[in-house]
Amino acid sequence: MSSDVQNKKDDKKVLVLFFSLGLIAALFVGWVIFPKLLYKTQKQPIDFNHSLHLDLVDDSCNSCHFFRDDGTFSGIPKMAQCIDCHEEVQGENPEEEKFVSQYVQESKEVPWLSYSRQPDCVFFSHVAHTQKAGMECKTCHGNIGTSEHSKEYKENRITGYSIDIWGRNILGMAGETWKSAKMDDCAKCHKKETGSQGSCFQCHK
Amino acid sequence: MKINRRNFLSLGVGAAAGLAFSPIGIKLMDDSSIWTQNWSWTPVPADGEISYKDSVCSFCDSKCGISVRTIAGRPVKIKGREDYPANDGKICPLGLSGLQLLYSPSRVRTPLKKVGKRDSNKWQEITMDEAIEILSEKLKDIREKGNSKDVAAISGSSGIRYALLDRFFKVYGSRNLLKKPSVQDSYKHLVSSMHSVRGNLKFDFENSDFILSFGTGLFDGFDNPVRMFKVNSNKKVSKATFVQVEPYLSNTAAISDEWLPINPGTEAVLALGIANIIIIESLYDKDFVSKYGKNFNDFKSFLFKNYNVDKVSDITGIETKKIESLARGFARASKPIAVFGRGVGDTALSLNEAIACYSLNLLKGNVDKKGGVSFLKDYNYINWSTINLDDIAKKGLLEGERVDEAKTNNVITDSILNRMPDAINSSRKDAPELLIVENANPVYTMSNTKEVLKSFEKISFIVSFSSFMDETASLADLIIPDDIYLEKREDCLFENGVNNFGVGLSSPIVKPLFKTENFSDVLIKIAKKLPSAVSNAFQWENYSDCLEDTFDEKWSDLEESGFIKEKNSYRYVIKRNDFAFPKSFFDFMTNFKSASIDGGEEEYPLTLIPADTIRLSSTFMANTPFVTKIVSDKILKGNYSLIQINSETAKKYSLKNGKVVSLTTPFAKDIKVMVNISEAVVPNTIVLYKGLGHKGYDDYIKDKGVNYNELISYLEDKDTGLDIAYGIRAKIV
Repeated sequence: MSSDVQNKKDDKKVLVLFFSLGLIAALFVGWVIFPKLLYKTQKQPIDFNHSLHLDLVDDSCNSCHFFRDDGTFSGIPKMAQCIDCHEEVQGENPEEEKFVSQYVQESKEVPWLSYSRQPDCVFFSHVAHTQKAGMECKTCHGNIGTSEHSKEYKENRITGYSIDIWGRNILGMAGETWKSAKMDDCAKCHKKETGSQGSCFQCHK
Repeated sequence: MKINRRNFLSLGVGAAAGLAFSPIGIKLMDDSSIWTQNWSWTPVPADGEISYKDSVCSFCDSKCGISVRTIAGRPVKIKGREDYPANDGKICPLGLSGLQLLYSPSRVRTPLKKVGKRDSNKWQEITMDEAIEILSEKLKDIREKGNSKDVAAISGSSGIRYALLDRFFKVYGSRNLLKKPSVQDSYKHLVSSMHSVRGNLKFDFENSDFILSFGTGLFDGFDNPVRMFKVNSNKKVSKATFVQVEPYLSNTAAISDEWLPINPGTEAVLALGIANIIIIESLYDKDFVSKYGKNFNDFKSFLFKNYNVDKVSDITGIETKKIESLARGFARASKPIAVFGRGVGDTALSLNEAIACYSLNLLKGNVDKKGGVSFLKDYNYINWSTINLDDIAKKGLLEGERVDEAKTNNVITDSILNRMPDAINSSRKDAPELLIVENANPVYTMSNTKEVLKSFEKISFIVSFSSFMDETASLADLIIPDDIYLEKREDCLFENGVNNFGVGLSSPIVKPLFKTENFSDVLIKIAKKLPSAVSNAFQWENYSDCLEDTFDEKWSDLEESGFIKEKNSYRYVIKRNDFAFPKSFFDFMTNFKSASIDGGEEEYPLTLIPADTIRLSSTFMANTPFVTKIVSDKILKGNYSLIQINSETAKKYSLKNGKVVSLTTPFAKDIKVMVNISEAVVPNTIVLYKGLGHKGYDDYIKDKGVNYNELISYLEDKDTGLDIAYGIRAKIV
C-alpha cells in the first residue's frame, strides 16, 4: 500500500518534473533562443564615432543630417559630404583609414545600415517634427549623437526592419521614447502632444 | 522512475504553457502581418535628394519641354516644363509616361549582329566599336565598287540629326534618303499649287469662331496635342463652334458642338456642296472674291453643274437641311476655318480633296489673316560650310535613281517611301545593297506589311539604329542602338504659335543606361572612317562640337535656358493677286473608289476605315505600357482589337457584341477581331483603331490587337505621288 502511495507520489513528481522541463525549455526558447534566431546581427561597415564628430562641427546634428532647401531631410550623409573633410586620412583611427581606402578612394557610397528607417508605406516628415513642433533629435533617436561606437544593427528576418523599430526589448516595452518607433509609439506621442492620435492618412498616404 | 505517455503529455502541456508566456506568439503575429504589407520583392524607390532637370520630349514632332524629377539621380517622373513656349507646362499622356521607354524591357542593350537567318532573332552581342567598324567597312566597300547609289536610308528625323544624314548621303553619293510622308506634305503641295510658294499650312484655331473639320482628329493627337487641348479648353471663352464631319464618333467628334456622320471618303464632296450653297446664297466674301478670285466664275459653274445639294446629300449620306444649315453657319461666322486631313495626320490627303476643302477658306477670304489660315515658311537654322563632291559622289547623285521613284515627276515631294516596296518587288528598281533605318519603323508604319517584308528580303544588309527591338530592328542584320531622348543632347525644333519657331535642347537626364550611343555621334564616327571625300565634310570632333558650331553665338543662350525663340515671323505674306480658285476638279469619288481592290463591292461589301486616339501611338515609337493600359475595352480587349460596327450592319451579318470574327480585305485574310456594336459609326462601315498589333517590342506591347497597316495597301495620289490610302473594302466572316 505504502509503495503504491509512494509510486503515486513519485509519478506526480515525475509529471511535475516533465511539466517544468517543458515549461522551462519553452520559456528559454521563447525568451532567449527565439529573439536570437529572429534577428540577424550585422556590424556597420565603419564603426562611426558620433561623439568625436559632434565635438568638431558647428551646428550639432544639423551639420551632417541637414534639411535640403525643399524641406526634405537628407538622412544619413552621402559620400559627397564626408569627402569635404575626409579626402585624406585625418587621424590615426583604423576605421577612418578603412573608410578612406575602401570608400573615398573607390568613390563608393558606404552601405550604412539605418536603425530608424520606416517602411515605404509610412510618410514621415522630419521638418514637421523638429522645425515646426520643436522636437529634439534625441526624442526619437536617443543618445546616438554622443555614442563613441556604432551599435550593432539587428535586422528582423521576417519583416526586414531594424530591431530599433520594435525595440530591443523583445516584449516591445520600450520605456523611453527613443527605444521603439512603431505605429503605437507615434500614436501615443501624438495623443499626448496634440490631443489626437491622428488618422491613418496622416502617415499612410 | 518509469517514463510513460503521461509524462510526455505533461512535457507538452508545460511547453505549451511556456510558449504562452513567451513573446513568440505575439511577436510572430505582428511580424507576419508586417511582412504581408511589405513584400520584400516589391521594388521600393531609393530615397535621396529630389531635383528637377529640364529637357525636351521627342515622342512626336511637337517637341514639348519637359521637367524630369529625379530622386538620388534616378528619373522618377516627367511633367511639362512651365516656361516652355511649345507647351507651357502641359503635356500629353504619352509624354507623361516617357520614363517607361527609358526602363523598357525591349530596349536594345548593346549593339547586336544577326547570326543565322533574318527572321531567326538570333543575335551576337558586339561592342560599339565593332558595330561601327562593320558598318563603315560595308559603306567603304560599296562606295569603292562605285555603287554608292545603292545605299538607302529611311529616316524619321529632323533638325541637325537629319541634316547630318542628308550631308552624309550627298558626299557619299546616294539620293536614296527616304522619309514617310504625312498630311504636312499634302499641305505643302496645296500651298504650292494654289499660291506658288513653298510653305506649310497653319490653322489659327485659337482665334477662329467656327471650325469645320473634315475628319481631322483635332483632339485625338493632331498638330501639337497640348496646343489642341488648350484650344478645346478655351472653347467656353472663345465661343467658337466646332463641327466634326467624320464617319465615326471619334473623341474629336464627341467633344465638338456637332458631329455630322458622313459616308467614308466623301468629305470633299460635302465641301464642294457647301461651297455651292455659299455661292448660290451669296454668302461668300464678295469683296475678297471680286478683287482676288481668279477663275471664280469657272469654279461657280463647275459647282453649280456637279454639286447641287441633293446630289451631295445622296453621296455623303447627310440630309440636305443639315448641309444647308452647316453652309450657312460656316458662311455667317466672321472667321471660319475649314480644316482637312484625316485623323491625326499620319497619312497624306489627295491634292484634290485638300483643294476642295481649302476652297471654303478662300470663299470666306479667311486666308493669310488672324483667325484664319496662314502660310508658314520653312525655318532653317543649319548653315554649315558647303561640301565638295568627289567624282564618285557626283556620279551617284547624277546617275543614281531613287528607289522610291520620287523626283521623277514631282518637285514638292522629295520622298515617296510608300512606292519603294512595289518598285523593288516588281523589279522596276534594284533593291538597295544597304538600308539604314533610323527613327523609323517601316515594317510597322507602312501599309501592306506583306509587300514591305517581301521587298526587305531583297535588301542585302539592313542596319537599324532603333533603341527598341521593334519590328524593323528584329529583321535587321545589325543593330546599333541609339540613346533615347532622356539620355542625350539633341536640338528639337518646335513651333512657337502659328507663325513662328523655336529650337529646344534636349539634355541627358541620366547617363545612357545601356551600351548605346547617340546616332549623330555614330554617324560622325563612321564618316571619319570613310575616304577623305566623305570625312572632310564632317569637320566636327563629335556631335556636341557640331551642335555648338551650328548655333554659334546663340549656343550659350540655348545651353543655359534650354530653348531659343526665333525673333522673326515665318509667315508668308501672300500677294493678293496670288489667290486663285481651282480651275478644274476631278470626280472626288474616283479617288476613293479607284483603290486597287481585287473583287470590288460585291465580294467586299463593307468599308473599313481607321480611327486614331491620343491613347495609341501609331508612329514609329510604340505606346508605353501605361498608356496602353488606359485604352478602352471597346478598342482593345484581351489581345483582340475591336471593330466598331453599326447595329444595322451587325444585324445584317448576324454579329453580336464580343463575338470574334474574321476580317478580310484584299490584302489580308482572316484577321481575328472582336465585334463592338456601336451607333458611333455609320452603316456598312467598320472602324479599326490604329496603333495596335505590334509584333516587336515586349510583352507589354506586342501581340495586342491588329496593325491597321497590314490590312490596307498604299494608294497613290495621281497629282502628288503621296500615299493617300485611308479606307479599304472589307468583309466579315
